[in-house]
Amino acid sequence: MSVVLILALKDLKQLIRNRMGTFWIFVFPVVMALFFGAIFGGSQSGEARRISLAVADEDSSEASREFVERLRKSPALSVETMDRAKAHESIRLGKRSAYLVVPAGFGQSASLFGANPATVEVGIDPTRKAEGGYLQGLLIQASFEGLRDQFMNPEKMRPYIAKSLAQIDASQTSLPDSQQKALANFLKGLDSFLGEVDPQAYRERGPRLEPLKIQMIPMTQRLAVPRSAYEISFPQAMLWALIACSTSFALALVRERMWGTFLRLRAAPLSRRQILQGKGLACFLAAITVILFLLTLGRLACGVRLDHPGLLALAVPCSAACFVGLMIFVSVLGKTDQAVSGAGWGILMIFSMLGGGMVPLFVMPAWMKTLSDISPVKWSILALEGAIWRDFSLSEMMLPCAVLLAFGACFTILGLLRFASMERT
Amino acid sequence: MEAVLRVEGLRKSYGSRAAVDGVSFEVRRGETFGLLGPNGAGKSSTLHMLAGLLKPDAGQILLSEAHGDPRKSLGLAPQSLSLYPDLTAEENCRFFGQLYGLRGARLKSRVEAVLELAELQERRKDRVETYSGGMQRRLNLACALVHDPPLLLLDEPTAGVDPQSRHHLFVSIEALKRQGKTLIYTTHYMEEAQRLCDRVAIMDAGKILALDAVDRLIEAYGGRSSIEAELATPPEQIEDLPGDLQGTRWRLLTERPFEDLARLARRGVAFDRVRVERPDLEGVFLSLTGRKLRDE
Repeated sequence: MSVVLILALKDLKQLIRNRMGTFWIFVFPVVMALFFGAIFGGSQSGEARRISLAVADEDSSEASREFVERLRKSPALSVETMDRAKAHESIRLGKRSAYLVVPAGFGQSASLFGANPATVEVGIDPTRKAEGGYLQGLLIQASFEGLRDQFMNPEKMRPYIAKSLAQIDASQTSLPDSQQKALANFLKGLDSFLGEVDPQAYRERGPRLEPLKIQMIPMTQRLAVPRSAYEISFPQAMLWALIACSTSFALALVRERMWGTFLRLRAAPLSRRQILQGKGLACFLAAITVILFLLTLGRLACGVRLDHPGLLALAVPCSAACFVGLMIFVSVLGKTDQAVSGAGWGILMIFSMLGGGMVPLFVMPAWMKTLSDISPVKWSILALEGAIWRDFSLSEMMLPCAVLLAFGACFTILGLLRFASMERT
Repeated sequence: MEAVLRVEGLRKSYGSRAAVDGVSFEVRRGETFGLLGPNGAGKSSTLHMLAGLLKPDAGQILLSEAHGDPRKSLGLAPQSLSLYPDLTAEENCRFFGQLYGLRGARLKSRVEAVLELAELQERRKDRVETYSGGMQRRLNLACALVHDPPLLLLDEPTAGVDPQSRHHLFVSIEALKRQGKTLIYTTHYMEEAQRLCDRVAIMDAGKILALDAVDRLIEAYGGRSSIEAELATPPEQIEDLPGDLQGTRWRLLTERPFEDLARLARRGVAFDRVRVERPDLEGVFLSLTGRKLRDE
């Protein structure tokens, strides 16, 4: 076994025994990934993406029940029926986004050519007004589907026609007489037509009454977008793990000096390069391990895609190598563990803030996105996301990986220069 | 006796301050060589240059070729405890042994041997952070010995330990002497140098002021012994009594205290109580520098 490996194994043993270090490297990133993944919506096909709607059906007619049932079948809505008071209360308490009251008389009004259209009452949580328009569309869609069902079913349609004719006869419409007469003739003709058709054949082969057929394309298959919030939160969590690795091993290097063990290492038949290689190897192995652990957890528990193992095999070691360089640089920022800890976390926090470790890059203003280029965190997240959901090609992956290796090399050189200077004094 | 280490004109400065200023000496195989001096005398800097931790500004260090790879021939017990507190004693010894190329049965037997020497077998599986200061000092020595080096550099090995642990360390070091190890021992405790060292170099301000066997140093620089006695014989019956006599209390400074006492006894002088104080290395240091070893 080479001395570099002996040094690295000793450091990994120390890391495992250091509960705080283990917490920051292994536990904290998992908590981050799960927490932010959950609050930003978790799986986008899940319940959290639906509008939760409280429905009070005060009509209880066949028409109202069918209307509510259609709403219930909508994949965009999560419907629960209750009385009006409870529906109001659920909005006030923030338990639901909106409420819908189907008032008494809804069934009576629900005719195709009635004088008074069916009216429903909708209330929406003021903090979720953006969903109001979407909800209106869904209600109109459900209502129109009812009308289409009526039109496609002669047995259902004919009573409504009779009801509309009766309203025309009773002059309950606001149309001029000539138009009332024309409408009555049209309805009588329609009634006559529906009376003659075979209802079964009409339902199957009759007009669709569907002015626009919308074909929904599953965008995740065509465009590179995260399938769930976890595909964003897990790469971020990996960066937190890398940051924790860097800081932990930088502190371990400082403690070697503080504990005097560095003297013993230097007195042993080892070169300074081997000592640092040992520390770097330990940091690298810990970083790889924690990223693989997070990838496995993300895959098994949260459905994070691992469709590009080859790209991951590039992104993960390049990210780890960059943070090994950062570890060596941070370790020489002070002579005590407090100094290094403070300076290290300070620098890494700034890198993290700029690089999208705290707030995703896509919500940042343009100038900050440009500034984020100086942060290795940005490139590491980009590389990891490139392999997880951005569907990078190999050539696209080369840029972030090259930048990461360049960052790692620069930090290592700066660290070694400072290290040599500290050794001389 | 063959010299295993020869140091010639060693110099090291920190800025304008010369920490080691032209130090030359040689260490013979199997001897315990002491570097005695107050804090800041240049002892640790000298030792660090011997261990390869510091690069000398000038001078040379020649290790006997018989020792092969210089760093493998040296064992260093630094002044500061140099141990991993979150590892056990056994893990510390194993780790440092592995760094020197020990593997398998040889590593195991050496770890056993040094833990036994340090009397830490029973606590071998405990983390070092749970040890007392004395136990940590013993382990610090054990880790320097694990690769069985012929030349040991002990930098103030008893610093900050209680008398019991200090005694234990002395016993361990004496056992190493019996095994034929060559030791270089820095200290500012003259009792330690006097007890353990065959030869001592007295250092101050980066220079060696004197270097010889302890007895010869004392003889050369220590001054005279003092005798204080309570006479049983009435003073008026004694003729030509040297020294000061006040009542029955008698005091004499002499080169040969026991010969003088024997001569007086033959003349019939009886003593109720006698106390002889021989000169020591403290006196040597005082004589050489005009200061005490531990003024600070």
